[in-house]
Amino acid sequence: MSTLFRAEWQKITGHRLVATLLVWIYPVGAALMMFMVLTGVLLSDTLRNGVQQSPPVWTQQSMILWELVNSEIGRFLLVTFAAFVFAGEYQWGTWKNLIPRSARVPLILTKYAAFAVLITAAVLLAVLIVIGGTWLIGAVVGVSPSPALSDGAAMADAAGDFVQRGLITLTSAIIAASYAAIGGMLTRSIIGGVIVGFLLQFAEQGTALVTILIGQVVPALRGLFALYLYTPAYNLGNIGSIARYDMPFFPFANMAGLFGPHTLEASLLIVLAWVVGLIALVTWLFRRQDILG
Amino acid sequence: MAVTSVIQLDGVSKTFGRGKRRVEALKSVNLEIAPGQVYGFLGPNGAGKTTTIRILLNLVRATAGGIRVMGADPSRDPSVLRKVGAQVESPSFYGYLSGRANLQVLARTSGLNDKARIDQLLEQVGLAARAEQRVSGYSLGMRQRLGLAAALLTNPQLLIFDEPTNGLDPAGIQEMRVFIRNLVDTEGKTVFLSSHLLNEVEQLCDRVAIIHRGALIREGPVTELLGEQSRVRIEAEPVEAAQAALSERWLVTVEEGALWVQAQRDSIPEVVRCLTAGSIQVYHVGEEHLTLEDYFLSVTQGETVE
Repeated sequence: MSTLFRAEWQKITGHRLVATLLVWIYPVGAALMMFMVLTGVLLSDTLRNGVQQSPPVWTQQSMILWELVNSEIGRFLLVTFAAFVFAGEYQWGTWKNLIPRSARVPLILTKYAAFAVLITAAVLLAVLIVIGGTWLIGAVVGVSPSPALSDGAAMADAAGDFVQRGLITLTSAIIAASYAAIGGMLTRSIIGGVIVGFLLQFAEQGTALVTILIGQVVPALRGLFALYLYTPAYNLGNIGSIARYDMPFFPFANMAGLFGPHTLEASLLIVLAWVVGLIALVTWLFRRQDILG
Repeated sequence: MAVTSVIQLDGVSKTFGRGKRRVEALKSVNLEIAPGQVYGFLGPNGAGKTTTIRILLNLVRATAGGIRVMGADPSRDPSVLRKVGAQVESPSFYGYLSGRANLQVLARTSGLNDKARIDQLLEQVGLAARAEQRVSGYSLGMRQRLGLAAALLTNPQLLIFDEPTNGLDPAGIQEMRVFIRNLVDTEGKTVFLSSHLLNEVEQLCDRVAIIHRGALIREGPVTELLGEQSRVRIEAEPVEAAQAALSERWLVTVEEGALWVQAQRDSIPEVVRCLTAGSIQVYHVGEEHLTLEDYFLSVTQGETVE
């Protein structure tokens, strides 16, 4: 299994353009951002004074990276990257070289593993750059970023928050990757994987809007809104909201009489079912698929 | 227990699509290949050669029938395919990686991490000097060589090649022929190959099978198939009447004014009697042994080969 993972890693990172634009963009972007801020601090008194008056909170800045990965642009990069990972073999006709060398299930699961590890590695690298950059800027300006490394309670809080946001983002990424994988398998092309991956994501996110509209036109069908409460998008949002603010996520006041937010346990269960279900579906499709190209 | 056949197909069928788009690619194909030989697999375009190879390699699922490769069913026990090296249709690689990196990826996928083996194979197929170059810059011939190296990575006992000489120049084809023959004669491997170069197949293969419209129509040692199927060339007048008289019993074609009759030597007296009984003037009768190409065209009714 480890050699299979190394093979997958070599394939992905060997494509320098894809790896740089879709994966290493986070550490590269973080380095560029830190460089710009540092240059600004060195050149501008106003900026330097601003940093002195309001010292950077490095824990908050490092959290932003997970949010960035989970943003609209971040999701676009994720789906494109996943389409490259999962559909590339169809496009290049290379499955026929790989399948006789390994069972299909490990081949596809290794793609998930390489995808998740690369995204995590890119974000962790970016976080290290942001933390290092923040402390460097602090040193240049003459202030200590907060919280101090010696503040055990703050460090534990930050670590917990970081892991929790990371898990939510990675779960979201795996779901997006599964959509792209399904698209790539059905269309046998990278661009097909990107398009279908986006359409499925859009369909998932758009469920709320569509079901609310249907409910307004045909009141008897207001119950359809319940579908949205079973999507990964809602439940990941709900988990994040409960974990961060101790408040469930339910910005649908007009539905309050009909539906309520899920509990943390229910949302966790629903997300788990989606992740397991999608990975199982991708694996099942791949196991049954005739490789003709 | 020793494996008596390296490939065994029992009534293998494959259907693609449904309803009006249903295509029966293979129709109950039976095939048994003993180890230690070069086995040629021939057929016209769309006959089912590549589908058969893909089924053997677990790339395509058979609709019906039993498949055994090196004694195991590859769809149930894919690990058996580690004893098999293959190159299916045109060689496909990661164009953005070098030749060496492509071999590393394939070796790792096979669970290997043997740098020395990769170096040795690159040397063996004549790509050592270009090993660090991206495959996107390789010619088709170089890709074929890389495909050969990839197939040999795990030092397999059975090699399956689909058109291994595509893209090679005449010298490369001859080199490939010697290379494949050596694999069998000196290393004791078995090679199963499809090729459109019938002359090459005739020189290289010990046995051949001919597949036509999804069904296996002939199988046997090359010498036996060609030996039993000599043709008789007849010059007779009128040609149309002669063809009509013989067509009831033999397969007859007319080429450049002469009749070609698919018949063995001991049938010649009967052929002549048949002609003279119809008052046809016979000027010349001669026996000619078939080449594999002649034989192939005669059994597939002249359809082109892939």
